[in-house]
Amino acid sequence: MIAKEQLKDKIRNACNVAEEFTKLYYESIDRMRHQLSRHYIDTAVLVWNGTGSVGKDQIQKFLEALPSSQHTVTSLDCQPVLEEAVAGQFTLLIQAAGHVHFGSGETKPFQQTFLITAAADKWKIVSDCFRLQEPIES
Amino acid sequence: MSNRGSGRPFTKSYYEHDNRGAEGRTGRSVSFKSSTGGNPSRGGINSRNRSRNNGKTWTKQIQNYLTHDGDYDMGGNGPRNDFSHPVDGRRKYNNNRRRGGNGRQHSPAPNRSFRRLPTSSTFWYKIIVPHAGRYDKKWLIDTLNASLVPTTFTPIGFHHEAQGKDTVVFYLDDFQAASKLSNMDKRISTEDGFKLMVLVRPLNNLNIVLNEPLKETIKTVMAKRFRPDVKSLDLSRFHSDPELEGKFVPLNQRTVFSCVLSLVVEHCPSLHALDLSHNQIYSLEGVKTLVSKLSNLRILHLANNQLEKISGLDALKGLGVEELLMTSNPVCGKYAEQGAYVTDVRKRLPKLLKLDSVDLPPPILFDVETTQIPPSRGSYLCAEEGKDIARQFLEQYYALYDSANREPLRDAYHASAMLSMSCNYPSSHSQGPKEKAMLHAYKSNNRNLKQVMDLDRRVRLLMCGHEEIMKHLCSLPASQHDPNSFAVDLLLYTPQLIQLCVCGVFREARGTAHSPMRAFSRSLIIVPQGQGFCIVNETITVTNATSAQANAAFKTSLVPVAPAPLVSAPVVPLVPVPVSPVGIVNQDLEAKRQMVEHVVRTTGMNLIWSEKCLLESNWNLEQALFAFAEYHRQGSIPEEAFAR
Repeated sequence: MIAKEQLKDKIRNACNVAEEFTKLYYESIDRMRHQLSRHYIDTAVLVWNGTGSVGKDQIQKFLEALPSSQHTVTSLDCQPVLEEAVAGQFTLLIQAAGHVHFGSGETKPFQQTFLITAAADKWKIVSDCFRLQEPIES
Repeated sequence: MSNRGSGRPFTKSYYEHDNRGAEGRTGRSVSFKSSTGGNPSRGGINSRNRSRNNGKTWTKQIQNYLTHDGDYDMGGNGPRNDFSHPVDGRRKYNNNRRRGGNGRQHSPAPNRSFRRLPTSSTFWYKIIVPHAGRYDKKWLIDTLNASLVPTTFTPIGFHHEAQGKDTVVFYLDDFQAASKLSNMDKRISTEDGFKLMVLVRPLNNLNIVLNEPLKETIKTVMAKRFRPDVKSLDLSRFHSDPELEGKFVPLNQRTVFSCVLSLVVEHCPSLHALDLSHNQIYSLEGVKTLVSKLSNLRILHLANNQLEKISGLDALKGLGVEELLMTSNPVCGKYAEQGAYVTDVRKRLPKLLKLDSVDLPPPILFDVETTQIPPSRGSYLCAEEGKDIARQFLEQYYALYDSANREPLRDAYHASAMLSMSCNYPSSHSQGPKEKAMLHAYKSNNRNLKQVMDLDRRVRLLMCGHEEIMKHLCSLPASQHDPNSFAVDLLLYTPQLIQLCVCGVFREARGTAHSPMRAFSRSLIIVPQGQGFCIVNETITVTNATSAQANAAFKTSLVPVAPAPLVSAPVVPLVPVPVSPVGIVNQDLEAKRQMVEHVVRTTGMNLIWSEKCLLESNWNLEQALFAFAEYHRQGSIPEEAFAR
């Protein structure tokens, strides 16, 4: 019973973190992009519409080269990753969706998945996967 | 009756014949009225009234004019002498009963020196020559032309109308010629001793209906006038194209203009140059909605049209036009200074480098952001060695997921796995009918944290363990995923953990032609278990596919998710892991049946050939699909394979 209650607490907590995290993340990428890299762990991976960047610095470089953006999140979901899979380290799987426009481009729907982990006392991004909702050219 | 044109200022050449505008300004003008003398309906005497109430009186006058023409009976029961005056022509008596009641009956017809033709707001005039069907077309046109010297005209849409096809009808966009023609009424003698009636009507209301054959002809004309090497389309004097002989297709009319522009966008979105000169275009509104689709248009010729106001160019805002030709439009004459004209045009088309054949100093623009987002790419792999595992895992997963029974998927999940689902409608931007299909089937377990605020509900909607997960998955609508639409991003690949993100398109398999097309995105955390792998965490987002996604989905090119190696990959036991650790080769009949079903659905081949294909691929689904794609590309699959 105790384990079940603990899991419930963990799930509730995870949802709150996800809400705060996405708020901070999308505010940063839309308005303070130069500070984004601090949210990634050193070895983080970003896959942006199929283009991969590995490591905090490369990610920062990639994100700064993107045109200015305006994200609107309309859907959010979050789960604590099963402890066994991450050796007990509190880790969250977050999935967001909404719409975005870059520069003067048209508004398009997007989906984004984050894996964030509690590193010391800060939440950091381990992986970040962004996809515009559009046909994939193979 | 539209009096749209009544406030229209006229180009200089029109002042000679039409003093409408001048009256409005000076109060009266009598220059053409001396000889119309006592004719009350001709406007001379009314000029005082008109100066006070210009618009209304004008409407009336146009009405009068048209009533006169309107009561002409198209060659029906009218007495012959209505048009067949003796050659010597002077009408000394008024035997025209049909005009009784109309003020014109007192008109001393032969003495009218100049019939003032109202200008047409569409710039088109209909010329009606009753009882002329018997005459040779060439003779008729030559004769009419000869009477107008030095003016000449070419008839547009020349055809016969009315009973016995005895009435000749054609159209003109030349006011001067139309005006002169209207004064030739009953003045031209024919060989058989009649006087030709020539009726001219300004066409203020034009309703051009394009039927399918006519649209096809328009397409042909456009194709003929398109130069693919330089991507230019010459639509100048469109109505006079020989292919359109006998047809009246004025480009300045909305239906025609829209039709032509839609064809441009549809067949040549990368158009570089467009010539719309000499088309009497007075409104560019039709271009407005297509601006975003003509992003490559650089050269636009609009010379010799009827653009009145510089604001008419507002419809072109957003075009990247660098060269514009506007000469001989009324608007050009309105500028005293060339500089003001250039500024006004550039305000609408800031990238303009050449206006009316004059090079402009290069524009100085603001240094606004011009960076583009990087092009999107297909699947990303953080580790090459994870490719086969990811692909095989997903292929097996979706083969089962899309089958009639999803229960075997139980083994793809860890005993304590978590799964949640959220759904949302696409934003209101760019919504087409395809994006509006309801998502009810996904709503009951929708855990969208933007909508579900209750903490207990958030906990409850996170499904944990086999029972809850399977119950949920089995409750979702039957589906058919399009593997070609998939983007599979492998984000983490370590011995302990694999993270995959998959997005793509699926169709709800309702067995009807109108099954909704959905877009999905799934994030999976996968861990090794026993000899295979299983999911510990999964989030699913479902929304409606965009029109672009729906249009691209389920196309025939059957390339597997990621190109598979031709040699058989080592069989990794994946799903179901604990149940059949030996892997795919020894799968039971049910699994085989499902694989056949999957091949049938994916390839469109019939059962026999699908099974044959799997058999030859040693019951390796992925290999079978790849082999199919290969043979299909080579075109070596016989038609009978697709026969049902």
